[in-house]
Amino acid sequence: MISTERLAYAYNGNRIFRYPDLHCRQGEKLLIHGRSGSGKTTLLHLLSGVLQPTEGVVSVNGQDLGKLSDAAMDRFRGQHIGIIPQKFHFIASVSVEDNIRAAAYFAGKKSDPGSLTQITDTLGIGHLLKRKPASLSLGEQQRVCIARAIINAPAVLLADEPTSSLDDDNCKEVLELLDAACHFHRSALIIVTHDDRVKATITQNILLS
Amino acid sequence: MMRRIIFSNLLHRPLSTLLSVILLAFGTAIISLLLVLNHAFQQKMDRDLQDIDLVIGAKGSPLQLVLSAVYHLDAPTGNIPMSEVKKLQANKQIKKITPLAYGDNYQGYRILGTDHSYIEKYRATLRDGSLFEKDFEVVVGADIARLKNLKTGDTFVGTHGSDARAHAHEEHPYKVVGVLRPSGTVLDQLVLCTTHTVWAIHHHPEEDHQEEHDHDHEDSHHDHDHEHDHDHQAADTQEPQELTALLVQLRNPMALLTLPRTINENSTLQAAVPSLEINRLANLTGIGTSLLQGIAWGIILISALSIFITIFGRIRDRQYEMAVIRLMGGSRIQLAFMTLTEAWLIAGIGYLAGLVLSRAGLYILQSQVGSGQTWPISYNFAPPEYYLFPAVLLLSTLSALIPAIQAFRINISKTLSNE
Repeated sequence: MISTERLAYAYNGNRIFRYPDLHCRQGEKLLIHGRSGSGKTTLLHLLSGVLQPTEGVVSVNGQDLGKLSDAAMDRFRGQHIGIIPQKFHFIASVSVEDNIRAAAYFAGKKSDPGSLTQITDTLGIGHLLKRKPASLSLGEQQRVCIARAIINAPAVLLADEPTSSLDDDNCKEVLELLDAACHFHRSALIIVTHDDRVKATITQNILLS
Repeated sequence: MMRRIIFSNLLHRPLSTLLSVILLAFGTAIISLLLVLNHAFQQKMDRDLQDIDLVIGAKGSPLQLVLSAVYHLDAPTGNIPMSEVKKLQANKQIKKITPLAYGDNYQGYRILGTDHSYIEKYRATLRDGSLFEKDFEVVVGADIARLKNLKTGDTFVGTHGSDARAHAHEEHPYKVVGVLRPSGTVLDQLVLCTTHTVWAIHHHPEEDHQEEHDHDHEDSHHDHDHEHDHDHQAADTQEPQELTALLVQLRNPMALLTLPRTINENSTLQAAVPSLEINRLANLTGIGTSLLQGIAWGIILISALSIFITIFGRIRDRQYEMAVIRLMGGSRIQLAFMTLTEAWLIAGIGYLAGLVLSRAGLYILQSQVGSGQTWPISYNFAPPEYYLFPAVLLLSTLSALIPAIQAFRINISKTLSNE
């Protein structure tokens, strides 16, 4: 579970984002939406410990992220927070399978071949494991990103604009996949988007202004 | 996993990796080749210098005296009369004198009159036969025996002086009584006999023409007679008994300070300290070596630069990749380490390839030069080569340092937002 208190972030001291408090428990889904430039991605980075807030507290599974050292934060993020970034980046030189297993490796966990197969089969990318990421379609790359984000059974799954470039059919499919991904480990899911179509499936939502 | 990623990264852009490796390999190869050759040359020079504290000969250039008497690379400075030699033999500071009398040559190889102490000095041993005892008996060095196909029992005639094309002393054939094992010293390229043999040969042109005329007609009979004469009456004949140079071993190294000066100032002879002269020579020829070394280090520096450019470019290409690794839980240290390891791998492969290349170069050199000379270059590490690896490692570390620091300091948030 993840929660924030009086969270604020200032870029170079002039542009300040203030965020409403949010709570998302295990198995819950939360939608954060707003216009472009309303600080959505910044919030996501704060939630994942990539950015340190100027004010306020983020806690994941009861751990105050601000109290972690740099290296401990990296480790904690790897183990407890799954992130699906807006653009898909991979370790280009190794296969899809190694990209997913790398997530377990860098988080300091043993990758379990059984759960890898189960996850990739559920996401429909089981046949792509030996391919290089660059040879996949965008839709396939997104699925690999989802698999990579949930391989470590994260407490929180954060998705940044997962549907923005998709047509209605694919949008629906991805939301279903994210739903399935959350069920896998009963993770808390937070989706940050400006895409109104998502509101239809996730009722609990926060508007950033 | 990290190992797999690092190796895959190297192979992901094979051409730029290859360029760095090739540059480094060539730099390493040239330097290592120079070091090995220099080392082998120095070792050979030292081996030839064995136990020779002092070289005494006729007045002239001391370097020439050393080059001619120790290394047989130059013409001798002149001859010294036996009377002077006798005086030296009485000198208490001198432990051993090895006489050298330059004689004819056999197809360009010098025939040298000396005694057995010369062979003992180099700890050379006979492959077969025995040492020279009588006049016109010779022991040939390993190289000559191999190249000129000489074996014990063979005879040959020498030509006058050191020029292979000069007039041949056909009336006095030499008889091979022994062949030496290769010793990696000057002995490999010398024909050795008694000093007396040299005197006897040189005695001839000055003898009256009547006798020489007789030789032509009574060849076989004369040869027998003549040899007989030399064996028993050598001391009686009026041969000009002169030596070319003396190799001197001193009783006490302190004598090195005083004896050369005494000889140079108070006699018609010249004494040269070979180690000093060789140092002087090495200082002269060292310029060429250091120039080549400079060029090779230049190549290595350029290859370090190419490693820098390669790695730097890759870090830029991979910034998203590295941000993602951080998202997955990878630490700054891991990213910096991966960057450095990539450079170290390139350096290590380049260094090894360079060593292989230098050994291949040595092999080619040896097979080309090898026909004329025994140049016993070992394929082992030359001691100075040990410094080469840390140097290459240091350079590659330095060249990957800035990229590694960049990887260490990557701002994940900014990288991921600046799509």
